[in-house]
Amino acid sequence: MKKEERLALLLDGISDEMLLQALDTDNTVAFSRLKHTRHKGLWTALAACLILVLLALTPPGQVVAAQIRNGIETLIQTLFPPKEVVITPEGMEETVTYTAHGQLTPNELLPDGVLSAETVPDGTVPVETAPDEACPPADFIIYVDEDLYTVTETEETFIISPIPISYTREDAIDSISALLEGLSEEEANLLIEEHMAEMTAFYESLPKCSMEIRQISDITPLQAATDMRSDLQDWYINVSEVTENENPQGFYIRADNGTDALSEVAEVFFIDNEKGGTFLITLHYFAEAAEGHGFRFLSMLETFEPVP
Amino acid sequence: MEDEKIISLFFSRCEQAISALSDKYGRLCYSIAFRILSSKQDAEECENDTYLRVWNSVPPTYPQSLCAYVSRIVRNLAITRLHYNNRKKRSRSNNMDILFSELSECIPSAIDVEASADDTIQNAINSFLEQQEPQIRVLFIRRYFFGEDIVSLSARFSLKESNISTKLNRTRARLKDYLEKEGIVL
Repeated sequence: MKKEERLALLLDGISDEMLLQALDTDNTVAFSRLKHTRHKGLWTALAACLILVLLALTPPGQVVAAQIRNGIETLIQTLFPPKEVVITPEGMEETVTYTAHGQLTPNELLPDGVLSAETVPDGTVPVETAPDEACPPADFIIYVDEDLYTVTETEETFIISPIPISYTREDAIDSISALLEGLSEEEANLLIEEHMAEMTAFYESLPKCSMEIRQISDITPLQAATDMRSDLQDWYINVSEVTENENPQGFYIRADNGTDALSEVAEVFFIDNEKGGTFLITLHYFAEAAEGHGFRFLSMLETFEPVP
Repeated sequence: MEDEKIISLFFSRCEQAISALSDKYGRLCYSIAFRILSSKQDAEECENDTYLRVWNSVPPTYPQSLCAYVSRIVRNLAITRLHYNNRKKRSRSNNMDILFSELSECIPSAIDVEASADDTIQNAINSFLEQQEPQIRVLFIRRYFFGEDIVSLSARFSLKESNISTKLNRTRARLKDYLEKEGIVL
C-alpha cells in the first residue's frame, strides 16, 4: 500500500468529536452568527430627521420629489454608510463589506401634507403626493454584500442574487494542478479546457439562489404566513409549521424538496411593514448551498429594517 | 430514531436494527463510498457491507457515536475496495487520484527509517487537527475524511475553488511540518 493510501486510512483515527463537528452543519452555523450590532431605532430616527431637513432645504413640489427620488441611492449611502461585518459562513471567518440598499420614499416618511400644495411656499409647481391607498407600501433598508451579490429592483420586487461565478483558466489550473504534472503543454491545455467547460456547465446547472423582498398590503404577517403555507404545500414536499421568528421579528416558514444536494429550499419571512401590510421575504437556494448562500442571505436579512 | 435505540436493537439482535441504521445513515454511507469509488454499484455494496460489519461488531462494541462509527467503517471499506479495484485495474477514481496526490504532500520526509505505529500517527494527526481553527478543521475533514471534492466544497462554502484549494494546500503543508517535528514516519 502506498504511503498516501496508508495516510488516508489512518485518518480513520480522527476523533468522533471532530468528525461530528465536520458533519454537523447546524452546529457549524450555530457558532457562526453575525458579530456586528445594530441600532435599528437610531438609524430609523436619523433617516427620518435627515430627510426632513433635506426636504426643508430644497425647492418645492415635483422638482423636489424628482430630485429626491434620483438622489435616493445617494441618500441611502449617506444615511446608511457601508460597514464591515464579520461573518463566518460554514464556520470560516470572513470580513465582508455591506452596502445599504432599499427603498426610501421621502414623501411617505414625512407627516401628511409636507409635499402638498398648501405647504409649498410659492404653490406654483405641480404637486406629487403619496398615492391615496388604504395601505401604502412601506420603505426598508437592507445591507448587501456587493462583492458576491447584485440587486435588481422591479416595481414590486427587490431581488438580491449571487453574481455569477466566472470560472477562469487560473481557477482551473489551481484546481487540477496535481493532474497537470508530467503532461505535455498540449495535453495540459486540453485537460484545462475540458475542466473549464465542465465547471462552467456545473455552475450553470446549479439551481438559482436569490432573496426576494416584496410587500402585500392589508394583511397581517400571521395571516400572510398562514395563506402562504398552503400555497407552499403545492410546490414543496416538506413545509414547516408557521413559527415565530426573532430576527427579523415576524413569522417564518421553511419548505424544501428533500435533503439531496440540489434539492430546492425556500425560507419565507413575514414581517410587519407597520402600514397594515406585510413584507414577504423569500430566500431561495438549494440544500448544498445552505451554509453558503443560505447563511449569507440570512446574515444580510438580519440587517433588514422596515422604515415606517 | 435515536442512536441509542438503534444500538439497543443491534444488542437485542433485532433485524429492524439494519433498516433503522439504513434509514438514518444510509445516505451518508452511500455518499462517503461513492465519493471514494465513483461507482454506484461499488458504493451500494460498500453501504451494505457496512451494515453487515456493524451487525457483526455491535455487540460487543458499543459505539460512542454511531454516526462516526459507521462513517469510519464505510470509508475504510471503500478505500480497501478502491485499492483492490486499482490493483485489478477495474476502475479509476479521479477524485481519489487527486485526493491521494494531495495527501502525498503531507508525508514527512524520511529515508530508511522504520515507519511509525498507526496509533502514534493517528494521535499526531488528531493533535494537529485540534490545534487548527474550527473552520479549517471542518474543511480538512470534509475533504480528506469524507472525500468531498473541491467543487462541492466550493458550493458548500460559497468560496471560489481556488480559495478552497489554497486553504487546503496551506493546511497540508502545516500538517507535513507538524508530522516531521513529531518525528513521524509513514
